[in-house]
Amino acid sequence: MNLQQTKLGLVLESVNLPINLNTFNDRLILQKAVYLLQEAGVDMGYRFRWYLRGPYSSGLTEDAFSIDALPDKGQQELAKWELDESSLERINRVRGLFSRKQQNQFTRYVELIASTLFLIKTRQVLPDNPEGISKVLKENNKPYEADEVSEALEELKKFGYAFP
Amino acid sequence: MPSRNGAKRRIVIDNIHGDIELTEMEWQVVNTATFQRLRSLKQLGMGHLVYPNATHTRFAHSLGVFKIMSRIVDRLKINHEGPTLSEEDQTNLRLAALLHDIGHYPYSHLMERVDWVNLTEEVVDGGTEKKKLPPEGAKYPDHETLGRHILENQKDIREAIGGAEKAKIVGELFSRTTATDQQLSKLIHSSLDMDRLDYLLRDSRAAGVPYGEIDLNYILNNIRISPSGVLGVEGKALAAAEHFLLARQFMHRSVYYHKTTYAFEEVCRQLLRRMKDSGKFSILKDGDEVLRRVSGVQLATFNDSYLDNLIQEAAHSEGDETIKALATCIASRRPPKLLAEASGLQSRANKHTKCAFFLEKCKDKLAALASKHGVPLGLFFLGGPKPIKVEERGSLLTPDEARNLEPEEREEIIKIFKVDQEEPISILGISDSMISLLSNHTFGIQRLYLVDQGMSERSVNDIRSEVRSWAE
Repeated sequence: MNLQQTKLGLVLESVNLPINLNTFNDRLILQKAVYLLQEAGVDMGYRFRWYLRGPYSSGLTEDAFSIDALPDKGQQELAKWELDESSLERINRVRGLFSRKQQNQFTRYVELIASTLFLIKTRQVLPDNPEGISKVLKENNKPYEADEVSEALEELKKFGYAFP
Repeated sequence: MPSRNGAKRRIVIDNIHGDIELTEMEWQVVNTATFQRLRSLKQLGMGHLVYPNATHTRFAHSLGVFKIMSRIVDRLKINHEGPTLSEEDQTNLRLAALLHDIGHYPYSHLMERVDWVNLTEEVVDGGTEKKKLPPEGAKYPDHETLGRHILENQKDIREAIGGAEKAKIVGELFSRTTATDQQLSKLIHSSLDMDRLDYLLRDSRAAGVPYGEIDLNYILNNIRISPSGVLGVEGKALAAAEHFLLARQFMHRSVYYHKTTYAFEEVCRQLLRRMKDSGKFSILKDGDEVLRRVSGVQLATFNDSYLDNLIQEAAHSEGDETIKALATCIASRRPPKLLAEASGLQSRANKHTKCAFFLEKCKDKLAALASKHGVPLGLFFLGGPKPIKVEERGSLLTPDEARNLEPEEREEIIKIFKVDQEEPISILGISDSMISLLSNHTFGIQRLYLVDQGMSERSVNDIRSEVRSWAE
C-alpha cells in the first residue's frame, strides 16, 4: 500500500465505511463519501470528474480495487498507521454526514449532496438557487426536486462546507 | 495557404503524423510563451537515461494529440448517428486536445505525486509504535488542475484562445469538470483516447522499440458514435483495438517501467519528498506555491531545468547524506543496483502473489539487512509500479462483474460495434476477443534497489545473494 492508499483506508475506517465493492451502490457511496471528505479538507489526492452519477474518480476506483485485492483488505498494514490530528479534526466535523448509512435512501442522499457540492464548487450553479441546481441535475438524469436540493444545501452548510 | 473554409492555415510537419494543419487562432495559441514552455518538458521523464533518443517533448505530443482529435472530428462528421458536433464544439475539442498537457510539471509525472511517495523507512516494519501519516497541507495539484489554472491566469494564452470564458470552457473540457457536454468530454477521456493513441506511437519510435506501433489509421477510420452518443470502433477493427490495448501493456513493461528508468524516477521521487520534508531546499513547499509559480512570469522556467537545478542543489548540499547520495546517483547517471525482482501475471482472486510475498519479505527483513551491511536504510528502495492493466477497467474485473457494471463504470471500457447493431458493446463482452480472456488480470512488478554509492561489486553481490531468495 502506498501512502495514498493507506490514507484512504484509514479515513474510510474512521467514518465506518470500510471498502466494499460488491454492488454499484457500494461503489457509488465510496466515490461520493471520498469526494465529500476531500472537500471537507481531508486530502487523499484523488481527482474527481463529472460522470453520469456526479463526481467520480477513476484513480479512487483503481486504489479501492487494489486494497480489496490485498490478503486481508490491507487490515494488517492499516493497523500500523494512524491519521494525523488535522485529518481527524476535519473528519469529525463532517462525520454526521455518514451517520445515515443504514437508511434506505442513503445512496440517493449522498449522491445528491456530493453532486450539488461539485456543481457549486466548479461554479456551474449558484448556491442560492435550488431551482437552478435541480434543473442542471435533471438535465443529467438525476430526478431531484428543488426542495430536496434545498435540504441538501442546508446539510452542506450545517457541516461547514463553504461555497465560493 | 487557405484552409477548407477559406481561412488562412498553418502547417507543422511532425515525424509521426506528417502535416498538422492549424487555423490562425490555433497557431497564435501555439506561439504563446505559455505553450512554448512544453518544448522544455521531456515527454518520457527520465526515459532518455536509458533510451538516448527519447528526448521528445510535451510540445510535439500536444500537437500530435491535436492532430488525432482533428481527424476524429472530421471522421465523426461523416460517421455519426447521434447529435452532430457544432462548429464551436469542434473548435473546443481541438483546443482541449492541444492544451490537455499545458499544466504538466517538470519531467512530466515525476513531481506531481511527490506528496504520496513512501519513503523506505515508512515501508519497512519496525517497533510497535504506530506510524503517523504526514499532516494535512496544501499538496501539489495534479497537472489537469494546474492546466486549468494556467489557462485562466496566463494572459497570453487566455487572449489567444479568445478570452476568459473560452479558456474556462476548454479547461473544463480537458479536466472534465463540467456537467454539460458529456459526449465531448468522453472523446478526450475514453479508454480509446487520443492521448494514448499518440504517445504509444511517439514514445515507441523515440525509444526505438516496436511495441507501440499501433494501427492508428485503421482505428481512426473505424470510429463511430452511436445514436445514443457512445463512441465505439467498428467490429472489423477489433484486432486493431486489441492490438492497441496490448501495445500499451508491452510499452509499460519495456519502456515506461524499464528497470533502470523506473529506478532513476523512483530515486528522484524519494529525493524530492525528502527535500520537501526537510524544508532546507529551494523546492516549492506546497500546492499554494506551485499555483503562485504557474500564475506569473516564472511559469516559463518551471521546466525540466528547474528539476535539474534542484538535483544539483541536493548533490552539492551538506548535512543529509541520503539526500546527497540520491541526488548524486541521478546527477552522475549511476543507476541504482537492482537487487531482486518479482513479477508476473496476477488475478484479483489470487491474493498471495509473488509480488505480495516479496514485498512482505522486504518489509520484514530490510531494516536488519541494512544494519548488517552498514548501509543507510534510505539508500534501499522498493520499486513497485502500479500493476499494468491490459484494459483500464476490465483488468480489475471478471467478465461477469464487467457485464454488471453501471453505465458510468462501463464508460472507460472500449466499445465495439457488432455487425448490424446500432449501439456498441464492451470489448469484454466479445467472447472471441483475447481481451476478455485477459480480464481480471494485471501484470505486477515488485523490485528492490540499492543506491550503492560506489560500493564494490562484491559487496553488492553479497547483499544481492541474501535478497534473491526473498523473491522466490
